[in-house]
Amino acid sequence: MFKKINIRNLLYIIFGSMLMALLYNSFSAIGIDLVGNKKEYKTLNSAKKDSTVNEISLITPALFYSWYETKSIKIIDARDQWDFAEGHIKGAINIPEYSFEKNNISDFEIMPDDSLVIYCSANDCDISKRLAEELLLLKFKNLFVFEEGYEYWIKARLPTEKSEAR
Amino acid sequence: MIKEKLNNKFLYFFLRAVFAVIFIFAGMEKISDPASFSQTIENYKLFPEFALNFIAIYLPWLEVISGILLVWSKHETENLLILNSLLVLFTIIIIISVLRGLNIECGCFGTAMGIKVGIAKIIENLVLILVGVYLQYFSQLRKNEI
Repeated sequence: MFKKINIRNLLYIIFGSMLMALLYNSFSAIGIDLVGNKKEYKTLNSAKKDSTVNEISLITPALFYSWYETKSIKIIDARDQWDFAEGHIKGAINIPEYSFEKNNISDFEIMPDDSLVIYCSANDCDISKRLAEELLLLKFKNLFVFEEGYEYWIKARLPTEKSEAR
Repeated sequence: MIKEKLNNKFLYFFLRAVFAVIFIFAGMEKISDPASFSQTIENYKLFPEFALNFIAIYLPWLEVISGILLVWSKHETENLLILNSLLVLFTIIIIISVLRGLNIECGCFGTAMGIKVGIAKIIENLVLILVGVYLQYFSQLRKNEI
């Protein structure tokens, strides 16, 4: 079926289209940045939870653990329910980012005034930040991302638990 | 017998025109609003953030140029291979999204039409894949005849 495919022509079409697309995007009034701008977040290392309003902050492991011990925050696990079931930070609530929609927010025990610390696997995952952005749009005020994630938590031998998603 | 009936010049040209126009139309819609298309791709939650805009800029042009070349009978088998590959890829992505329970816009024809991902969209794509396979097969036969 594919015996007569001319690879050279195939590459011409693929790269020719790419060139046209990039040229059009450069000169078009509705053109967009080639690479999406990655948002920068400021990092809190010592602050009151309610000092940051209407924005998202990263928090250091030490600060997170101090809040965790006082139990004054709600911890949100943004990973999927299967990862969550295998193990998560003790007391965390699972809100899988991939299936999160603004209309299902009432399914979770969180309120806009709550201080929420959101995490995912490790530094290289961005679903915790994405979930925080989605919650920010829903007028959640105190949003913090624990960027080091669950991997750091395990390495530090901090409390974890296994359970079904809730 | 069936092969002989299917190997009909008029049927082939008709289906090829329909197939190409679908992709040209879909691509043009996306080119007209790349920012919204980038957001639609992000909603699938399958692609890294840095790649979203590049996909939104490039993909529609690949659809449009391959579609135009197909109507024009230029490099038929190569363009059909590209469009069929895209179609299979889109279908896999939609199936994954349906299995994950996402209720998002498909973005298949840009964002203006508001078509959601779902079983109907999967069936529609499977029908298109059948047409694509037919065209790929018979474009090969025609090439051999020449």
